[in-house]
Amino acid sequence: MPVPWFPTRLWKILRSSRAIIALLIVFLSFGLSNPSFASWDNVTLLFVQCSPLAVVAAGMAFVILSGHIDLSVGSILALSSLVCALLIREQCPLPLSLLIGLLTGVVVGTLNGILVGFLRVPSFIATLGLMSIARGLALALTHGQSVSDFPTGFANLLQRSMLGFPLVGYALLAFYAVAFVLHRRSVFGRHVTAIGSSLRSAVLCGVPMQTRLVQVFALSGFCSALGGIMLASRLNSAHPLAGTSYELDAIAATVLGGASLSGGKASLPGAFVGVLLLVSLRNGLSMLNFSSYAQQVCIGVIIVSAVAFDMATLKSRSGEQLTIKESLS
Amino acid sequence: MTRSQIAVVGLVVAAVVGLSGIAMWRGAREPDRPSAAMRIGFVVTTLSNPFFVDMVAGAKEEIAKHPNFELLVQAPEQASDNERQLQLVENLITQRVNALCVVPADSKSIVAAVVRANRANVAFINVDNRIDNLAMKAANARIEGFVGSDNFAGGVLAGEFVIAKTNAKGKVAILEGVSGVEAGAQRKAGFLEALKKAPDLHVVASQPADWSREKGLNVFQSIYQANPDLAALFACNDEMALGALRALPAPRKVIVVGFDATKDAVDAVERGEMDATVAQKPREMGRQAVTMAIGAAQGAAPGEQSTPLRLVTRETQ
Repeated sequence: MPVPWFPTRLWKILRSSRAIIALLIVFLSFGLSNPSFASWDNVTLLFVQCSPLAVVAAGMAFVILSGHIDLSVGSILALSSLVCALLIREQCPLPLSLLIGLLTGVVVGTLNGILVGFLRVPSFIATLGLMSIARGLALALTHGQSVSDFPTGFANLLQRSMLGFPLVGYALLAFYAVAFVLHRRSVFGRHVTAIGSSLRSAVLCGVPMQTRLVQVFALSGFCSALGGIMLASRLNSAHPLAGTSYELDAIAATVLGGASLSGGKASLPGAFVGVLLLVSLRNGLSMLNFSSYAQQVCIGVIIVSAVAFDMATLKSRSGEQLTIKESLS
Repeated sequence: MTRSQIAVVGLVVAAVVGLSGIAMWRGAREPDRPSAAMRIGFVVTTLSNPFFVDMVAGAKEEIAKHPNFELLVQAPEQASDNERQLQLVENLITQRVNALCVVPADSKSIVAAVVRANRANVAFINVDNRIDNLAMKAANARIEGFVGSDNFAGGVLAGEFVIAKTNAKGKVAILEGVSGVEAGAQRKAGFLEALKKAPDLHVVASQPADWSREKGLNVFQSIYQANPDLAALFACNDEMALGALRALPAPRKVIVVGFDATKDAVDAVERGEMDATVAQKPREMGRQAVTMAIGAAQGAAPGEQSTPLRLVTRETQ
């Protein structure tokens, strides 16, 4: 029974924005213990640091929305950034190189989609396979070497800032706005949500399930490739081992942002906040001079407790657990 | 208030208290540091390599002599993770450390951090692996100082040893480090320079094994299979040499030379399992780097310093 000073509506808003609360907690406690954490300088830095992962996580949000998973994002990121970097090194015009790099991601993503949508391979297995294939191709392409002889134009692509905020930050916000509209206001978004919520009903209602799945995975491949190009531009080099644990980070961020791994539910603003949360945790923990090993433990604990907490309070939101309990009794 | 609401409020309070508690405990653990302490950031590529553990130990010894300086040591989990290292260096810069000592994981990707350090007026001391000069010029970045071994001279030492042991003829293989790392390239270049004096020594394979023992074993296995009559192997670090040793059958006929003189490698040389390694002095390097950083933080102009090298063989031990 809610007490009057804790209105149900406010409560609902708080409940649905778990990641924002967690982010506030992180900012509050790190900010209090270390003033430079909450500085504007550091906030802009967080946007720069999180940009490749944030782009990848947007694609992952759509995949999770459809009730699937994409483990190949990190490998696609590496492969497409290497393809792009090699083309640039071979004097191919910059826009064309970028386009082919992005296309590489779309092609690998489409393969994922065909395997999952048409051949009914479980997405965990299909994308696990392509994760290995794409990583292997990336390593074979340069014999494990990194590529880094870029002209200065590529390195400076997104490094500048405008009105005290990095260009890449603006680009990121615009990107997420587009993704948000695609999720909430497009036929594509509705169809993917339907597929993830109830595959049977969606198909019965005439949702072109197979085509939509190919599109979802192609979109995820595109996002991974875009993230890869952003990373290569930031590091001024493309490395075949880049993005090695991106799939885990992207899944974690999406789930922290309120997505359900059983499909039908994902939030793009949530995913973005989830990414910010992960990156600011790493940033803050390293400012407290935690070793990177301890940071890994901390982040794992936070992900698991956030989701466990979500499951524990699920009852008050949808009554799903109630039905489980009822059916048990 | 429902149970779950109590749970949320409780969790929020617990998290704030917990995180601030950890933060304060971390602060309290550094004993009596003066409030106006100067801070030096020290970033290496990994702490799972004994070489960097030694370097950090040297740095800590040096900082202990300066009570109003504090050392912040950071390293990514994996030596090849240049993105993570870049983030760690950026984080130290936003914390306004007074000077930075950095061993770059990649000699080009670190340039973004140098630019940021320049803008924030943080002295940047480059340690061990030299940052790519062209990349720095392109980004208009500058470093204040450099501390590192003369890797080229070390490669020459290794090359001369191989010539002496093989009577200047036979097949030679090289295991390289992570590509794009200047130190590895210099070692290889020095080794090849020395080999110019022995036209009957042929380099039949030169492949990267990314500084790791496991990859050293795998890469060397395939090289050895293709060239079972190999006379000598030069690995650009000891970890790769130690990995390669495991691929060689018991009466070892291949001369194996490593680089870095880590404890494992020196032990192997003493037991006769390996022939030689070039000793860098990581402890000394760490000390020199911190001395230079302290100087820079106090306004002195740092410059270049090279740490001496020597060849370690069974005879010298």
